[in-house]
Amino acid sequence: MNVEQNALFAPPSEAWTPVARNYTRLRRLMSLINWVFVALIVIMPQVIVLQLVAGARSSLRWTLIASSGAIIALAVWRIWRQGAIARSWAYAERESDLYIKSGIFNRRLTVVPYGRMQAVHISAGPIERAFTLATVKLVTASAQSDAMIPGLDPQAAAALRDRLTERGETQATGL
Amino acid sequence: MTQYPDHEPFHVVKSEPTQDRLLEHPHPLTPIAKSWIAIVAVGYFILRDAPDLLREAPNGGWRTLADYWYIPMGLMAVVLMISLLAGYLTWRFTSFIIDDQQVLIERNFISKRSERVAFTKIQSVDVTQPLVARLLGLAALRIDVGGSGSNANIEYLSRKRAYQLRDYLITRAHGKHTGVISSAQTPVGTAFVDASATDLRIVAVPPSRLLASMIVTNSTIIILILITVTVGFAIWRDQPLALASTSLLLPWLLGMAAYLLNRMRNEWNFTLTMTPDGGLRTASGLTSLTSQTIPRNRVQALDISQPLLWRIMGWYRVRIDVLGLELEASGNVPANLLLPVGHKSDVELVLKTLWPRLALNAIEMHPIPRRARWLRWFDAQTFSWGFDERVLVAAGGLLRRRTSIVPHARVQSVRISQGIIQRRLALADLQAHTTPGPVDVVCRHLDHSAARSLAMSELDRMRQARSSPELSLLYAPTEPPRWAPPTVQL
Repeated sequence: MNVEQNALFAPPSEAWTPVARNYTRLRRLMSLINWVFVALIVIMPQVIVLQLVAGARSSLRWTLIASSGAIIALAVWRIWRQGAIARSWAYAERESDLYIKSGIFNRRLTVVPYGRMQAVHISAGPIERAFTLATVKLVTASAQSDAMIPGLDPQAAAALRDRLTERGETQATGL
Repeated sequence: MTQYPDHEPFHVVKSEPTQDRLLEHPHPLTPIAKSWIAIVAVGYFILRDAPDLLREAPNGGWRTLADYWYIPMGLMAVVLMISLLAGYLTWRFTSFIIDDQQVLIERNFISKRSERVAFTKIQSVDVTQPLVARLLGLAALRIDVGGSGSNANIEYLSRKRAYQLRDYLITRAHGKHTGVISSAQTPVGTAFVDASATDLRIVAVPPSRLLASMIVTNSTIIILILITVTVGFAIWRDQPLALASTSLLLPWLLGMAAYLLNRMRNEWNFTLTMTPDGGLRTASGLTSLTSQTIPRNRVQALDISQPLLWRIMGWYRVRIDVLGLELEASGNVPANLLLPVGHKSDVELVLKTLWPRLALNAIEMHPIPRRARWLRWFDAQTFSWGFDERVLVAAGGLLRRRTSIVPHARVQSVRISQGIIQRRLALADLQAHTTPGPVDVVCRHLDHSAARSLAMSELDRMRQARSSPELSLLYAPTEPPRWAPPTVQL
């Protein structure tokens, strides 16, 4: 990856604020749960067939071994990558806009002017709470904005919300 | 005309309810317009069963209808009585009170309900005329107050009264004072067009062009090609059974027919007019006539699209995002349509009317890098982007050429995005986010440094455009409009 590519998603001056370190662990857990489900869906029918159909034994045993091996390899790789994905989330508060970047494969950088924010929500589901994390969501008049910052420390999230709403109030413009 | 200057010391006394207040009841035919299906159904069952009554005469032998005339007649009379009673009750217990400040809708039949809409809250007022109501000469008013699900409906008034009230409410919503009683003298439209003498007609789409435009679409051609291929194969290999496979297209054909019929029903007789107060009004509909007011300052983005085959005819379609109007706003209203199908001159006229200061042809459009061909094999050459101090423009598409325009002042947020192949090719997309609607403004596959600088400069232009009124696409308040409305007698 060359320098210019990184510049595409860089904030103009200030450095990115990363999300909490715990967010990696949350993502790893969620990924693990997903892959357990995938493994169940792929492997269970094969095991059942193996048990019930006598003639299927020798040929199916190898597909079972191959598919479980593939799933485990994929799962390990995906779970390992969650660290980088979690670290790819970052935000930067500038004078008049909020910058949010995310993604490794499909990268995106969303810029929301404070004046365009209609509301700032904080949400924390049961799993997020277990990891002491919260998500900040920005609402604009556009549904496409879809601006959110997951994996924030609750205190940091609350402080961010307060800063954002304050700036939103002072810089608000009509629609 | 009653006018209350702000410094008037006895304002409260002067605007007492009796001063200038209009009490309307729903038209007595309202229950028929609302529940005609039930009445028709009862009538149908009675007529269907009438012959059976004749056959099952109790004493054996045949009797004529004359012996039992009272049965169907009696049932009919009961139905008629019920609808008359319902009409009377609706008329008696529902009232629409329009005074100097607000619209009050009161329903006092069993439980008391009162809805109140202050004039200052009115966003737009639409007139709808479903088929039966239209035949009866009735029309409903739908008052849009911005929030979702909080529309006030006035059902039904006579068509003339509905048009007059609509004009009155819109005048009041614009902050002008006119007397409510005197509004009854406003000239109004007819059952076919909703355009009074004071309106300026901008574009009308003749039904013949609408029909032709619906036939000449991409899906028609795809279906024709598929049918030709199947029939050709059947003849070539002498396999008549292969023809049966065309029946696989049937669901698709039916779906398309339904879609086209729906479009025809909604977009028939489309007219775009400008009202004396500078608002836009669209009216259209085959069976039901719906007219909708679009305040120009609520238009957030616009797109001009052209399916491949429309290029032969030089036709375009213009759609808009309107603040507070969701895609399928109120049932069958094509609320986001500014021009169902029109020639280039029509499009220019529409644009000039909506945004007089837009200079679309003067905007320099930049093509995207040739290496985008790796991602867009056939249509990379069609994409382009550009901007001036007022708008951002994204264009492109082969099967459907689209030009999306968004004023900088209306952009909510921007996003740069890049997939893995784009990263290899050093390309990126830039999306300008607008309020919900049919328009998507995405500049695709820009060179990544161009995307970056466009995004950063766009943020500055958004700020600039929002803070300086001279960058508005509408005329500045001091500037006289190019079209001076005739003086309205209210």
